Formats: sequence, C-alpha cells, structure tokens
Amino acid sequence: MVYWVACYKNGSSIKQDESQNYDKLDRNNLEAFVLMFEDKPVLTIWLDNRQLIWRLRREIKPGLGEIRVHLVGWREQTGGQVQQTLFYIFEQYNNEKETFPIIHVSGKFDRERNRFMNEPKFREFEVFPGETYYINRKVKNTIIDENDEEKEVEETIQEPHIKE
Amino acid sequence: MVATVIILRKTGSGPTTSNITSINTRANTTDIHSTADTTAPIQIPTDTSTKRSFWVVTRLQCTVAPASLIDNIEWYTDGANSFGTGVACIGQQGTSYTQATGTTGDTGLALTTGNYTSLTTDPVNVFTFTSAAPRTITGSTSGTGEFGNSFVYQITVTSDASPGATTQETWTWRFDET
Repeated sequence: MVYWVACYKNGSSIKQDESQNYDKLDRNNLEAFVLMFEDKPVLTIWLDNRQLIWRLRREIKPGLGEIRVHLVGWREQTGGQVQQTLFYIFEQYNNEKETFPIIHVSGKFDRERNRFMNEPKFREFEVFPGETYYINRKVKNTIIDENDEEKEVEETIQEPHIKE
Repeated sequence: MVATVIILRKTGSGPTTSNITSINTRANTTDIHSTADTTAPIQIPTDTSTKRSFWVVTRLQCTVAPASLIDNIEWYTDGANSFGTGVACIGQQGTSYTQATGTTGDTGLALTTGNYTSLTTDPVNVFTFTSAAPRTITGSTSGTGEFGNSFVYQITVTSDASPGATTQETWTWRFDET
C-alpha cells in the first residue's frame, strides 16, 4: 500500500493515519510530502511554499475489485496564472501481491486522457482567488420513508464557493 | 486509516441491505437480492410492449470512516451494452429509497420520476454514463453509514430478446478520499 509522510521544516514528520489528517496539515511549515511504498520513498515533493494537493482515488467494481490511485502534486499562482504539477501513483498488484507502483506526471486535469485524471473538489486551502472550492456542511433533511412517514436524516452536503 | 467502503443493494420494505461489493446481483422480477435466482425472470413480451425488472437500488456505505472526507462520487458503465438484442438498462440517481414493485415473475413497475419520485431527473440509458462522462452522484461523508445519493437502475426487455441469462455487466463506483 502506498501512503504519505508529511515533513515539516523543523524536522518533524507525520505519517498518514497518524494524529493529523491531510486537511489539518500545517501548510505554512510543510517542507516536503513523501509518498512511500513498502516503507521506502518513491516520490518526494519539495513544496517550496507551493500549495500541496493530495487525494486517494478509489474505483470499485462489484465482484472485480478495486483500483487505488494517489493524486499528489502542487499548485501555485505566478503572474496571475495558476500552474500545477500533478503525479498519479497507480497502486499495482500481481495476483494478490502488491508491486512497485506506476507513476504518471501531468500538468492539467484531463479525464479524456485517463479516467483517474479528473478534477477533484478543491478545499479552500488548495485554490487561489477566483477559483471554486467546496465547503462541507452537515444538514438535517426530512424525507418520506418507505412507510410514507416523515423521517429526519443527517447528511453532508457540499457547497461551492468562489475564493476571494 | 483508509476508509472501508462497500456497495449496498437495498430491497424490501425495511429496507434490507445486501453487501454486493464482491459479488454480482441479479435484476429480475422480485424485490430480493440474489446472485443466480431463476424463479422470477423478466418475461419476454410477445407484442410491442416492454417488460421490466424490478428496479435495483444501490448505494455506498462507509463502515470504517475516512480520516477526513469522501467526496467526488461518480458512477459509470463501460459504455457498451453487452446484454444482447432487446435488452436495455435505464438508470438515474435518487435522493431516497423507494421499494421496487411490480408483478413477480412477469414485469416491474416502470422506473420513472412519477413512480420513483426522488429521482433527480428522468432515467436514461445507463451506457451513456462512461468513465469520460460519468453520472455525478451528489453527496459526501466524513463518518460511517450510508452516504451519497443512490443509483437506481432497471432492465427493460422487448420482444426481440433471447431467453436465458444475459451476459453480466459491471458498473463502477469511484470517489476521492482524504
């Protein structure tokens, strides 16, 4: 399994699934973001104050299994233009044994090129002014259940916002 | 820890949920999940009418929560109908569950926004949903439990279909996790 390690400028590091999740990383003090396979680094991204992006993309086909791809890279704004470099790390399996991943590098989101290269729903800290990001909010909705009775359910909805 | 996400089929008045992540499920004319039932087939019409399966309601469920969030949910097919002549499939996302009904062993109630009122729009040929143009499924989760809208589909059969089980099709769910 591929996993990440976030390395801070003060020399400390955090491994995926430890005390902080991706959303709570201290981005102002992040120096590098490392993707690991079998406890060895396969890709190190030196951030140099650029904005980190990471997602674990999962595709499930009932009865056939799952494909996992790590989208990782950086975004930056120079001269009013947003530029980005994106790596797609495809976890690989030979029978049930995981083998070294395959890595693609791209400058844009392009699902026509590869179905895993679609744009994510950005968080606020991943975008620049004028770009859309999403806020997650828990809401309580009333639905009519199978017995035609009103029932309250809690759901998470995503609201798009434009970053100012 | 990476979240544990399973695919459910929902049936009955409860509804009953069946985990179909690692198996197939059969669309026929009974509101029960099975992998190989032959007692309630969709009849082939002898006239110009259409016979239908009971609709199939599927949804994602998180049994181990993500560290942060699951979002960007999509549903798609391989884009090619391999069921054979006279067999089609329509589907759409729905915001809540409506139990499938119809005449067991014959035909199901048509999947329409009139009969399944929480469908977000009219059902369409599911094979128009491909990896390049998937059906976006509204919803996200940061916890456990069912999440996102359901995807509901129905098999339709016309008189030029052949008897017997069709070739199996595989639907795909995709999402982002952090």
